[in-house]
Amino acid sequence: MTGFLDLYSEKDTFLHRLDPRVKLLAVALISVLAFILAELLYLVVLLCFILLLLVLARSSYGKAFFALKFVIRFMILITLLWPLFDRSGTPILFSIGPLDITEPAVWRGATSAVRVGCFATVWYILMFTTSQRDLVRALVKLGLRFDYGLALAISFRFIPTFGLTIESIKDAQRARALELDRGSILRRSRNYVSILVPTIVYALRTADTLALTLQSRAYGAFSNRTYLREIRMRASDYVALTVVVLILLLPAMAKYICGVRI
Amino acid sequence: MAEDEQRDVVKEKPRILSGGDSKFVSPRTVALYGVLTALTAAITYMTVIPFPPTRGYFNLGEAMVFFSAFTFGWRAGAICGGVGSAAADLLAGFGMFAPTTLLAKGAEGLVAGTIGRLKGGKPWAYALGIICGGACMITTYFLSEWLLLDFGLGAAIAEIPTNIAQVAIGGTVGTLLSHYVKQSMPSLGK
Repeated sequence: MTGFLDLYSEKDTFLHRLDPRVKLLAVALISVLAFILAELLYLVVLLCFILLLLVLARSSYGKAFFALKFVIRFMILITLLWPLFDRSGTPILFSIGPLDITEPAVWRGATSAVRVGCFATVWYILMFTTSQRDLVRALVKLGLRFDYGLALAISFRFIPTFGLTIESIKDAQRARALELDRGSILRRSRNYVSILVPTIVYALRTADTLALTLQSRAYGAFSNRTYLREIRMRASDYVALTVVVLILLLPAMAKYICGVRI
Repeated sequence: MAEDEQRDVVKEKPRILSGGDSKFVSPRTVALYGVLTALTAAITYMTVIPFPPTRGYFNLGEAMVFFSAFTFGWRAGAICGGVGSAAADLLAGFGMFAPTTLLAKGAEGLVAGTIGRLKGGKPWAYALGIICGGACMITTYFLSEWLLLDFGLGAAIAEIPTNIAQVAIGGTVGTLLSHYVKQSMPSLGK
């Protein structure tokens, strides 16, 4: 069984206490920064900074390994594929048949791989340190309509449940001699229909019950809703916000106003 | 000030009692969208079909997007497909794809739901919906990987065949699902 992995783990670090809205903004701004930076060295610095934050978030090794495995595989793929499609530049390192592998292309490939590494890892800061509940709350605070926020919260809550349902229906159908790992890819996917139909029917019945539950708890009875827990920006959150904005603004100003090559 | 707000809430007559239309969507819709979104994410995550020859893998999340679009219309297709797939990306640790996925799968669900239900869901409409929706999805992923995420043309092109196969399989399975589920729950037809 694969099991559903939630990247979040309950800890008490400054990143966990930070307002989720600031973290969302940080992800967006650092992604923009990674897009702006063009030199390999600075991108590596940025990647190291993100990894340092991950260490500070005290993420568990198992989850970090699970996440980074994917990133590293992607970075290797990009480094290898880039020079094959980019044949500009002069110093030709070597040729494979009609393909010329040039030195600048290899460097550009590495740069782009590190940039993708930044894009990928910056999300882990958010996902390792923010619970799904806080994420939904932040989105609602940022202007997502409350009812859609509720639908999102419901879906986060039911993902592991349906994961288990799929697992047990799969076992049940296997016991009735359903073969899932033999035959062509089309055959195999068609076999999944006999798992997915019961799952969907079960889920739609759950939805009916859920609608009754919502109604019985007076969902939508009052138009201005109050919350038990409000997220509020504290002084430290404003400091973090300033730091995050400066992290983007300073290099951007250096590049576009002062004309420094970074 | 907080106390004032509290008092306002109490003064206001509950809308369920007054019978007026709430400014929120109905509880049925909230429950349905929540469940469909969760299903999309769970299926994306759980039904990975390993396919040894290419070392790539398929998942059937696509099938759920088409199922939602064909069974419940374009709105459900766009919201549940987009948000569900993006949530699966976030939870599985592919966060950098989440914004692209939201857009790509959302557009796919929207287009498939609009075109697929023309003339009450004829087979040609389904096929056309799958093709147009799939084209939206593949183009969005390609452009985003090439220009925005900067994977390079090579890696972005390498994704396209996998995506095409995924749409073809997801479309087939999604149509079958829509058919069988409607059969076993006739009230869904609408």
